[in-house]
Amino acid sequence: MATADVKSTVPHMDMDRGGAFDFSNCIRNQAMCKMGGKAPKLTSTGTTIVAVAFKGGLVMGADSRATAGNIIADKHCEKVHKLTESIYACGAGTAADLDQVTKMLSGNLRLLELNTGRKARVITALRQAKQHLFNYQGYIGAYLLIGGVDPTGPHLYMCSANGTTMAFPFTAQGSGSYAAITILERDFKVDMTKDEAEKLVQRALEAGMHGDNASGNSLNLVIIEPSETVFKGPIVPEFCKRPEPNDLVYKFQAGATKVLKHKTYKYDVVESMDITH
Amino acid sequence: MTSFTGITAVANATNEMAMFKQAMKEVAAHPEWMSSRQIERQRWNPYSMEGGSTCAISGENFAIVASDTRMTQNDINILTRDAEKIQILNDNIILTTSGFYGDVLQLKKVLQSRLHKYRFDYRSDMSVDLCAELLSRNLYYRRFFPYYTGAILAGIDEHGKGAVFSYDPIGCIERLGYSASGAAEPMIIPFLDCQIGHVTLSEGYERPELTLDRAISLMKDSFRGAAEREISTGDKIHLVIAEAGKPVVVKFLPLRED
Repeated sequence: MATADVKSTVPHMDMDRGGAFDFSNCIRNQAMCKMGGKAPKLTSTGTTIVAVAFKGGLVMGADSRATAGNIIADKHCEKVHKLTESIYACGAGTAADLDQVTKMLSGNLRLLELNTGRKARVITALRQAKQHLFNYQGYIGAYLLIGGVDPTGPHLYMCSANGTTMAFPFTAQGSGSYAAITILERDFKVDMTKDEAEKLVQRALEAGMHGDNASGNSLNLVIIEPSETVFKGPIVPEFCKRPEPNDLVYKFQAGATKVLKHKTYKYDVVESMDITH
Repeated sequence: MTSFTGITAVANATNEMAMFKQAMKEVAAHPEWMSSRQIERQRWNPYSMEGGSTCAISGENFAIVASDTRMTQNDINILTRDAEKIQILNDNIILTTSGFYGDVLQLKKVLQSRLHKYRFDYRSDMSVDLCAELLSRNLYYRRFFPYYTGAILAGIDEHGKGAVFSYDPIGCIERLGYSASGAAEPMIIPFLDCQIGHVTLSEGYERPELTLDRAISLMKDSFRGAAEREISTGDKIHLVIAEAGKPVVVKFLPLRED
């Protein structure tokens, strides 16, 4: 059968986009949904992420809760991603997209640093991210705060999934951003000290974690200065601790579960290994 | 004989393949690019869900009811940390409802006024069995525009025994030993199945007696556990204890607030 014949008999849609993503299962998956199959759902991480610039540096932070619907999928996930030694990104949105985008950025920035022999700039990371995200028209659900210190000073940018970017002295993102931004609006001052900025970010994150269901558990901070980058966390605020322990101990004795079926397999021991240590 | 079943299996598979090919053709001609969210947005919906969970356990001479006090908008936003989802209807009837808070309040109002009228007409308080039937009928009365709620009615019946009645939104009623409804129902029910129903416990294994103290502890622990993993459950446990021949006791206990 000639290729043209195959193309006319088999339903086919050309969706190639330069070899990045493979869309070839799109049509098949829609057909399967039509036959009664159920499409899997994506994990969207409701989040609070906050960043504040201070005199000479930047503090960024995130909570550590990842949710799948109304269930907490991960209590201690890492949302502060390292791009280079002095550039970090905090992410809100679809967990897998964030992991992949930040991985791509850190790889590209490292290559750039090795090629040029200089430290990468924050604006470079931003441009890389926005061009990638714009290319995919918002279908990559990554909302990023990209910030860091480079030879031109401290910088903080927000990059939304459709490629929009903005520069800020302070900002918050994610489902807890409304609560967090109130604290920032109230207490932010230009040219704060490092300690003031760190306290402000922590307060804003705590507000987000308190007022937003999809944020909580613990928080991570990164303080970026020209001389050094310090990572702090996980910090567990007082209201994120269990107020009371369980009343009872739920420990099952051996034999508590009903045995439904017995089956014995016999093996010849050919080789064994000591795994007690 | 084997060939016969073999032929049927092949026929089914071919049939299924033909159906799949047909579906592929249809989808390729008219791909459904509209996302499920966009489709959802077009449909008018008078209901909302304010999250939270409720639970009830009955024993030989007691019934305890608990709920959390968080009220949530769209699963994410906290509306209040002091929402009451438990109504003490009289000395031996307690109603707890989760779901659409507008209907929770309306259902409470309807039952309260019916109980009030009953007191006028019969000069005594309604029994929990009667109230259970009344609630069921009220729910089914709205069969095609239901109260969007998961109700649980608990109390002490005429024989002094603990009672728990569980409902679906349109009035299907069941008398159970324990029940839960709301966002954390899928987490609390298996826990109580294990600890009170003993559904997986092997024969002849020790089964601890369900005393009032044990029931209260299990109730607290199920909410503590749910608050760990369910985002719209938290802030406080609202605990109501009804024991035969004793006044109803109300307690509030702390839960995590994040």
